[in-house]
Amino acid sequence: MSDGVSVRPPTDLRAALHRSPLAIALIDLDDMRLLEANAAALRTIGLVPEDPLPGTLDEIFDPETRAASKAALEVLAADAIMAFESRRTLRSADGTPFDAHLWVRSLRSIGLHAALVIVAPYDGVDPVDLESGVPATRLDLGGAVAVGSIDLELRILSCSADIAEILGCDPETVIGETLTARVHPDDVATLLLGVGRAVADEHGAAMHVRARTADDGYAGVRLVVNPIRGTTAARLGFVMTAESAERGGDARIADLERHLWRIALEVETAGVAHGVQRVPDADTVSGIEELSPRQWEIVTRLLRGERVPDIARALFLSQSTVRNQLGAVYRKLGVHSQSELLALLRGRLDAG
Amino acid sequence: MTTHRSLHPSFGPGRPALGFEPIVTLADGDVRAHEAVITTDAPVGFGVTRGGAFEYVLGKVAAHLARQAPGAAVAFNVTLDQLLDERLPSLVGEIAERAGVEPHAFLFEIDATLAETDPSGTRSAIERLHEDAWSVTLDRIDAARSPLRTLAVLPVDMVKIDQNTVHDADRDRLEDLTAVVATARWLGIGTIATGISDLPELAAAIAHGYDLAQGPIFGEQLPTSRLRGEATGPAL
Repeated sequence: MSDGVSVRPPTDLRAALHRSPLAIALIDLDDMRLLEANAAALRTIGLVPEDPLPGTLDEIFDPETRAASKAALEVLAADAIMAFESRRTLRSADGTPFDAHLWVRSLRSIGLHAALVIVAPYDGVDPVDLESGVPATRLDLGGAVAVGSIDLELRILSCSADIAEILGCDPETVIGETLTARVHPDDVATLLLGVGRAVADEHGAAMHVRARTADDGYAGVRLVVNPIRGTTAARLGFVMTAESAERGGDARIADLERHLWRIALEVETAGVAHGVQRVPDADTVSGIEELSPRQWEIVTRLLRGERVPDIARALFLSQSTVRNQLGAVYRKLGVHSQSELLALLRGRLDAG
Repeated sequence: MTTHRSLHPSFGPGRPALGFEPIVTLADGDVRAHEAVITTDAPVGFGVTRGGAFEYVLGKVAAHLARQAPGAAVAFNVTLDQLLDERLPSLVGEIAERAGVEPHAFLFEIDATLAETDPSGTRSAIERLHEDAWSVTLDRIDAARSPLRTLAVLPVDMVKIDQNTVHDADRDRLEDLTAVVATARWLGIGTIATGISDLPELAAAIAHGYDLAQGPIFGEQLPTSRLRGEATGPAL
């Protein structure tokens, strides 16, 4: 992979996926195909584990909304956004359409150019227990969710096809336009303040603005902007939803934000992301090639945020054995502490 | 220990059989590893096999791992001679790599009684294995043999204490064993309670603060054909 980052999915990645009670699939964002799906996910689309996976996502998306579904994923693939949530119409293996609620999260931030998708069939019945911390399906976003990205000059870099439903315009026509030109003049200050807050806090910011429609009118929309992490270019992702007549816009956005954050929690809960290593290439740090595979494993676990006791438990080693190995790593890489080691390696990742 | 069944048909009738005993995390019940044992009349560590036989058995274990549980960790006993042999890690590494499994999936165990016959040699051997971070467990710590002194001398990664020795120990020895667990935790060494056969023993192991446990209560020793189905824990 580029950017000095390589992906080394651990051997237990598949096992973790298949242990999850949630319907989870992994999508390869390079060629837009299913990489892996657990039994619950396969069941959702009318397959059993023995069946071959669909060759392309076109086989899963309903033809009528296929363009929008693919466009959102393409925006994710371009690292323009990190996550989105939407209600889509999918097709079973026998061709039967059904509504599904999707939580989609890029795994780019942990070094994998893939998306994790949690699928909940929208049948009005919660298939899983909220008490246990797994998602309910009774969340109706009610309308289109456009996702896209902007640079720090607020120029729109990418946008999903859902924008057509919200503003009535072709996504191609908004690419290159600045958001400041797209919103009502009276709302520009709100927009700038919101984006500034998101950049300063490195956190999502929600705002209510009026956005120009295809017929030069204005429609009330809610925008959530998020700084994109794990990429070299500074940019922000945005999620735009039309204001709902039935529900307050603030409540809609709050729901959206809450559920976007919950994706991260669910990824962790499902254990799927655990073990995916984002590590520098061996030739980017002098001395790395001298590390033994065992030392490399300890280093990558440190990079994942594991502490020495955790590493010791995982590798059936005493803490002193792990610390001795780290001492050898320090000598080989010319550092003197764990913080120096992590700074060196993370510095290489960020520089990459 | 309950009856250990014949587990590997390729050994043939009348020959030793290979089996895998689950090692379970007491905190969550997940299977973390298995111990490979050879069963004749009673299970023994396969370090009792020597020379070509040892390599043969290790090759069998590696082949099973590669086929049925890639990523699984398997502990096995070695004799003192094998532990002291400088070629041990390279031999294990070669066999593992030939089978296509991660060499460090193998965890060495040395019987405490054997280790105590040559503490300095054992210490050097463990230090040598630690140069490449191999895991070494001190097996069957004996309540009657000053376990704390053993622990202080040998830089092992994990210790195993058989519940039977707890049952048989007098009050002083029991306190010694409790101290071993506490000391091990203080030293950052993992603790494994072995021979857990019923719920009171399991409760005692949890109460004493062991990290891991193994024994008949966790199911009979796994036949190799069942390893795949059971090998779904985090470490497997």
